[in-house]
Amino acid sequence: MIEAKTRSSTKRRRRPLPNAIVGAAWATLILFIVIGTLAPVLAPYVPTDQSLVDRLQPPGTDGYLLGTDQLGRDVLSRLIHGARISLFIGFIVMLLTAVVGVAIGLVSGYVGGKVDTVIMRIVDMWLAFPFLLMAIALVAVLGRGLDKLVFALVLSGWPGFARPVRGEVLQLREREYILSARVLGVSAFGIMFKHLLPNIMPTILVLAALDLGANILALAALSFLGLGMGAEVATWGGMLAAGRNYVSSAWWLAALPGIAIFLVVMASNLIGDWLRDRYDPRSPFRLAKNEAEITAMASRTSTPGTTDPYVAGPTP
Amino acid sequence: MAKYIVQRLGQTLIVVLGVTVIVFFILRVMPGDPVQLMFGDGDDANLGEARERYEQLLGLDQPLPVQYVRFLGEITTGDFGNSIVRGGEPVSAMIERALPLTIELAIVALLIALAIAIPVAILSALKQNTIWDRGGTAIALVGVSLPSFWQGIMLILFFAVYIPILPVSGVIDSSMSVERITGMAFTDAVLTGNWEAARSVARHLVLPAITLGTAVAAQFVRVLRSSLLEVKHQDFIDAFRARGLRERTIVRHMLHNALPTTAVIVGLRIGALLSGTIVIETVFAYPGMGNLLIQAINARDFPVVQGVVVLLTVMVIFSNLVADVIHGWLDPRIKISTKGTA
Repeated sequence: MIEAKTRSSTKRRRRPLPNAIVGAAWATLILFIVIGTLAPVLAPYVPTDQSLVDRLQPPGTDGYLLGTDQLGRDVLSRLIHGARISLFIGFIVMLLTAVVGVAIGLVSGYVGGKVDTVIMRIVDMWLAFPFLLMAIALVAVLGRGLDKLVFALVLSGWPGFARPVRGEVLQLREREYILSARVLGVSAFGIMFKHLLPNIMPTILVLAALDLGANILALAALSFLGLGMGAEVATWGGMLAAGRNYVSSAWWLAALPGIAIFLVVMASNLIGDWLRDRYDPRSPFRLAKNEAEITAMASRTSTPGTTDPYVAGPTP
Repeated sequence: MAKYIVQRLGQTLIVVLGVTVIVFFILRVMPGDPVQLMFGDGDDANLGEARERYEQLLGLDQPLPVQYVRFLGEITTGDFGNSIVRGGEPVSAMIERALPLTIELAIVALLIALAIAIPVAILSALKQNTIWDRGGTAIALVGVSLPSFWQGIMLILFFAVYIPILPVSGVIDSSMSVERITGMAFTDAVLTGNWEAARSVARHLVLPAITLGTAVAAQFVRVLRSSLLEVKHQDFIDAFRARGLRERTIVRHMLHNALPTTAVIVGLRIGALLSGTIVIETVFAYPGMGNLLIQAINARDFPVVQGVVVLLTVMVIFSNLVADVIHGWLDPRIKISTKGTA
């Protein structure tokens, strides 16, 4: 009997990630942030400088640590500048998506009623689109360029925040401290941003970390498809696309950018998992693990009608 | 059950309607000037009178609600207009060629994903916190973080460059052809008993299907494992064990209880699978919907873009619906809960 009890209380919880792995994930992410920030200083060459004499040199060639591409551009320098673009866009999109999604989720959950119904219907429809498909359609219409790319990704991604946040708010808004704040005459705005927001921060952080990885992957996919920044900018996805044509003669062109993408995305996924372990041992978000993964990663689709379709996770 | 299906179908139709509004908004309203979008930035100056003709042709001279109703009428009758690039070929004809190929690829990829994910997830969940579990979860984490298009290129590197045993692009050897029945190349080859062609098509399918399948498998493993663990720690499993049931029987009951969730997870992932095909088809020059979409975007062929986007999204919505219905069928509790609300 005792054994059964301990089993269900301890084993039910996911074993937290080992510290060494979490440390490595943070180190990787910070390393890439530093590399991206200092790109102009760190890169040995200008990423767009061509030297046709030195084209397709393998890694380890004198002067080109990671080799050169089909136009004789230094792969290392391009990877370093690619880190700058990827992380910059990844973070900007994550921040904007979070701000928009959280604001909409807060209002929807707190105001409730018709506003909530309308917003959640829109979220339903939005989530029916595969994330990448909507981003592709938007970029197709808006054209290439940094601002348009950011706009397209934010517009495709906001429901990934809005729905879980709204679910959390629904659970918190009848709590005593919120009710007493309301009785004391705190404005709706004050309640939402001063009292509710801090309490859903853990959820937001988890979503944000997973969103960062998803954004970097989506950005790479868009650049790979030629819908990113224009050919002159060094992006990891763009490098991969060009490298595909030289895969038989120059493996490093396609292999190396993929490894960079993988490391950053893996690091942000691990950090997301770690944040969840750390802040949410058994909160309503426990089961939303699946939901968060599902929404924050590629598909962003919904199953309305299973339980309450909007609450982040089945509530106990 | 019938009531449940009707209710879900109603909800789905509303979502589909909303989706058409969003597509209409994105593709027709947001660009501001679709005519200019079609012709690029440089040409609008000397478009002159032709511009009016194009506006009329696209119905842009009508008020927005009229345009939307017309748009809705067109897509519900399967008339997506004509390509403005490929000699005005109807978009529906282009989709008819591309869609079966994508469906075939997606089905094979899905089968590969399930064949990998189900055993790995079961092993991980049953042997929780052992080396098996850690290995399984670690590989799954790596899998969800890998860009699938990179994985595809690496497969090309190994199985077409280093050990040249598999083709890297297209559907079938250019010297062969298959009589069209369903449009799905492999199925058609088998149906017509053209075994040589079937073999060629299968060889062309291997790399894209594995790329897509393993990418989706990693996502399946993560969600499946946790749903199995949910079941594993429920009281009825303890009760079975206390009654001395054989471990094999207990596992069978566990799987049976995890099945409804699995169906939903698979349904939810169809969206990821289909958007995966967009990228993978580009890697392998596989002439399906993804390839069609990207080519159309690059050629500014908007009727095609619109048709592909609407159709792919509607397919995702309906596969979610099917998953929900299967869920309701497998899990009687769902039906009871709808009875309560209806």
